[in-house]
Amino acid sequence: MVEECLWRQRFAAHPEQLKHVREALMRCLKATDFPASQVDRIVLAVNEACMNVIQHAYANEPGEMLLQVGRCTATHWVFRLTDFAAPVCLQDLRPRRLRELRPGGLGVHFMRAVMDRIRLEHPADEQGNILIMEKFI
Amino acid sequence: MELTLREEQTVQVLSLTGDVDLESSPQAREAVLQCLHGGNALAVDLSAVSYMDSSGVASLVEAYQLANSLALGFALISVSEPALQVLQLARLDRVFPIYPDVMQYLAEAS
Repeated sequence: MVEECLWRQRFAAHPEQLKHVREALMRCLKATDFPASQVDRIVLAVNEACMNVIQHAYANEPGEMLLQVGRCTATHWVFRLTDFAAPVCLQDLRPRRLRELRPGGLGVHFMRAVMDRIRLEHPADEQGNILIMEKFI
Repeated sequence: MELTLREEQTVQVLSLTGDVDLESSPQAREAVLQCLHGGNALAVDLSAVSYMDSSGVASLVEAYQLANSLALGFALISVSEPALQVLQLARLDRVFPIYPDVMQYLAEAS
């Protein structure tokens, strides 16, 4: 499966950067034929993934993340978020039950509710995590 | 994000404007909790919220839980479409008391 990279950008893993990530991602998607009605949900999911990198992968310490938007087919979109922190495992990305009313744990639920497939990979020869979120439209 | 606070009869109305995200949600959290610790009912006006993520929602959940524990009124009013979509995704639109405006909240609260 050949994935065409449409856009990529590096950001500091810091809360102040998230609005720039959202704006850049929105501009990228609006410049393509990605359905306008789904852009906000994709931006939300990617933002939540970035939040996880900031808060958990880097534990609020300085770091960088690389966001990449790609397309395998006209209807198969791929959003890759790479960080350079210590490896985490997909088990750590469990959503909480919505019936539990508590402040935290909604981010993964949002990601899984919006994206059709989520998987985590690790680079073979260096530290980091690559979160791959796929959307079929 | 900007915050403004006003009083409407017996209710404090805290209006949030802009993006409520990981950068700004600590400020929102502190404001809602401080309002409740003042001992008055609180209505959070979300009409001008352009974006809200899970950290923003978490601040509202914490405020709602605190209000309940203090037996104080709490409601969301004039929820913007972006904020409503996030609350619906979290299925919290069925949990939070939500009103079109503060007058309707006051009418029902009385």
